[in-house]
Amino acid sequence: MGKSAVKRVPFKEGMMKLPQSDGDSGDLIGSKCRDCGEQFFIRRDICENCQGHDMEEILLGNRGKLYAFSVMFYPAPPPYKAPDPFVPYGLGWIEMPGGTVLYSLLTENDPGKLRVGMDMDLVFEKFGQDKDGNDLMIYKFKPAGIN
Amino acid sequence: MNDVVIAGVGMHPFGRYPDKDPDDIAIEAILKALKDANINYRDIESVLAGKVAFKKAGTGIDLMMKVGMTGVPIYQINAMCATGGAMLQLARDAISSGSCEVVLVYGFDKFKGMFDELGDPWQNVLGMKASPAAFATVAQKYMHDYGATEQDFARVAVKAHKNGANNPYALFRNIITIEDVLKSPMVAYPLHLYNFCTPDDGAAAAIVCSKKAARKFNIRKPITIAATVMQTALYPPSVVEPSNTYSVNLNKKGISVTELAAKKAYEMAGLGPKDIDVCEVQDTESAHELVHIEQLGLCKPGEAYRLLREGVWDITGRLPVNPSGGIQCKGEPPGASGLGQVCEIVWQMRGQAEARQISRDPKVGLCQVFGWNHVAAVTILKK
Repeated sequence: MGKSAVKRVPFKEGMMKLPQSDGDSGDLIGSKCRDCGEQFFIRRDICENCQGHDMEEILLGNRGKLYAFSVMFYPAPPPYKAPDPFVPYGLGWIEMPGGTVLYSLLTENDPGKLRVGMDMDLVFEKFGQDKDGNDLMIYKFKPAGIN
Repeated sequence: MNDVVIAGVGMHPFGRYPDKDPDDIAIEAILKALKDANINYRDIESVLAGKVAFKKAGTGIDLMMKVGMTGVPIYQINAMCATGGAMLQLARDAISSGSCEVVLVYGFDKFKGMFDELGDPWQNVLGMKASPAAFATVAQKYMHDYGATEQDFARVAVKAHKNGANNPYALFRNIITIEDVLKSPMVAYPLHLYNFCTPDDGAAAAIVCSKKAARKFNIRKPITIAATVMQTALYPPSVVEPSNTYSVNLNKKGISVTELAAKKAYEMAGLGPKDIDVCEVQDTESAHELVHIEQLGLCKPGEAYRLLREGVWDITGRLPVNPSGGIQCKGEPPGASGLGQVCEIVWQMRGQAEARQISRDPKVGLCQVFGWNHVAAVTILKK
């Protein structure tokens, strides 16, 4: 990276660990309840299962399997700002190695190229900039083996 | 607990009324329900006012002041798409507890476009919680798990319109074909425009009272509320159920809110799925009509689309589903849609549904509503 390289920051704190070097795929952040052992996507303070407040931060991985999906052919309502012209976008549930199924945007928007059970890789994309000029990064999943 | 009845119902047709004073829409339904029960507003002891989308503050109280200043408590209720069922449960509980005898419940809404703040703020900015996609994901999973096709979902819409064509309270009263549905624009794969309900305006009302009050007011054909249950998610929630949920544990078998509510409602009523003669279920889009039929135990999982092909859910079938045309035809004013179902089932049970009257004589009817962020309500009515 050059000296003037723009800093990349997570779109939301407690959601992702961005790659720190070449070959680092990054990861998604979750929380595990120290009381009941249940784990969740995104860092959180309260366990939905047992209402415990003793949560530890964990990593959920960067490869999962597609559990279910859809493709939006119309833009979502505001505050979503649709590109002009609008481009359909994929959404789906991704089953992670520990059994956590999480909701994600998909890079693929052709339903014909998506199938339940396919391997999906975590990727990060720029979604605008924050007030300090840093690139805001969001997570998506991409069918594995496609560049 | 079979001591609470519906004495009267009334509806303002669901549709689009840009030039009509919103209060007049609700008042029309309220006055019709009072007239249907032959009860005067001064005999109402409590009012539950439902709305979800309509933004004006204080709607329930403002509106009821135009109906009469009788000093009664007026509560505004919002339980998303389950608002109608939630109000019935509250009314029934109030009457069962002996705190009052006669309650007016009404639901009203003016609704345009999609809900714009359904998810958490970051999800909304990313366009992740667009409700069509959340519902369509369930449809995709249903196709994958059970072998249903887009044609099957189209068939649900075709049935809805066949019924809705005979419903003066419906927004859409046109007959459509499977080809029409499949040719309509894809909104969220695998669902097309004609698979979806549309937001609109409307109101529905019911007079709920004790059996004692029903005798006092000489109510003809009272319909007993055998059970009514409002339900939210019990961890772990069902995977892919439309909600704000970020993640679900696949290792545990999550149960849908509709199954949870139905189980309690059947127990409360001392009845089972086999006793149901007619029902109105939440058909936000065509696929969820099938999903909800199964979650209510009216057939086995994965069977609803096959039975649809056989005509089981038609008004001439063994168990008519959505004889009103559902919200696929009526449209969905979410504050009013639940009580809209109740109106339809009451009319069916009294034999007043005219051209859409089901073939069999229904003794027991069921209403089910489901909505965003894991809410559902199941109501069982009997003669």
